[in-house]
Amino acid sequence: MTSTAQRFPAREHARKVVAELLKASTSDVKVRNFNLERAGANRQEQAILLQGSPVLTRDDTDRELPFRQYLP
Amino acid sequence: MADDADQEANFNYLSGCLVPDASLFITFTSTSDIRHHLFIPPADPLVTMWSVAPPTLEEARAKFDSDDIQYTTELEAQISKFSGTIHTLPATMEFPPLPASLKSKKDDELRTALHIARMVKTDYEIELIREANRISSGAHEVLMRELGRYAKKRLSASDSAGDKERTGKEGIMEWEVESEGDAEALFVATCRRMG
Repeated sequence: MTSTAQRFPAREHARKVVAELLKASTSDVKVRNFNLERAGANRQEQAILLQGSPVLTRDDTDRELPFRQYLP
Repeated sequence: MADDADQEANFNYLSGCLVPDASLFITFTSTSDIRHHLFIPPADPLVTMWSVAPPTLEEARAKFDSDDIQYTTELEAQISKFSGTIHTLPATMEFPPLPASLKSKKDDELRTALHIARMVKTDYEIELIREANRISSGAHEVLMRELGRYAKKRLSASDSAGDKERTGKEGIMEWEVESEGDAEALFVATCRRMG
């Protein structure tokens, strides 16, 4: 039985997404890696870059940050 | 981002991190060679004056499942030294511009890969869904009980709903649900209280 008290399995999720990216049939990267492997070279490294939600407002207000005034 | 969500759903799926302004960089050559880098913002006094501070690196390392956790100030350097293909989601107006050090990117495959991967839930996700159902079912029951508590009273003409002045100091037992907004507030409050 899995418990939600455990740590969120982010790396397991990453493995699932990477597996899907590696088998993407249209990928030119896949073709390049195939040729590299045939030539006995290492596969090209790939990466996923994601950004989290930005802070657009102060907590519990709808006041936008760029317009927030403060005294220096 | 989905309405009312605390974090962009794909970012949450790959990080479990609700800290705003965080970033994620996952490098790989195969499914057995993956390195997960999570970047969290350092505490900014202008933000912490009003809001809860982001976790320290030590707190984040204990809390999040990642190979390497650093501050977002290190992200540009990490991208600069990477020479392979970088997958991103298609750019939208909702998100901050991608880092300047990102010279080239591939944005036509990651979204589909995420959709397929997220379609089949892990045991952990199924447990999360069960827990969310338990919480929202409980909150619906609380709401129905509260509505029922005042139903009889409402039937009497002398006490019509919505004409009482509220002081803002009413406790939960004195707070009659009189509108859609009240019902939502009670529902959200009950869900929050249950986790």
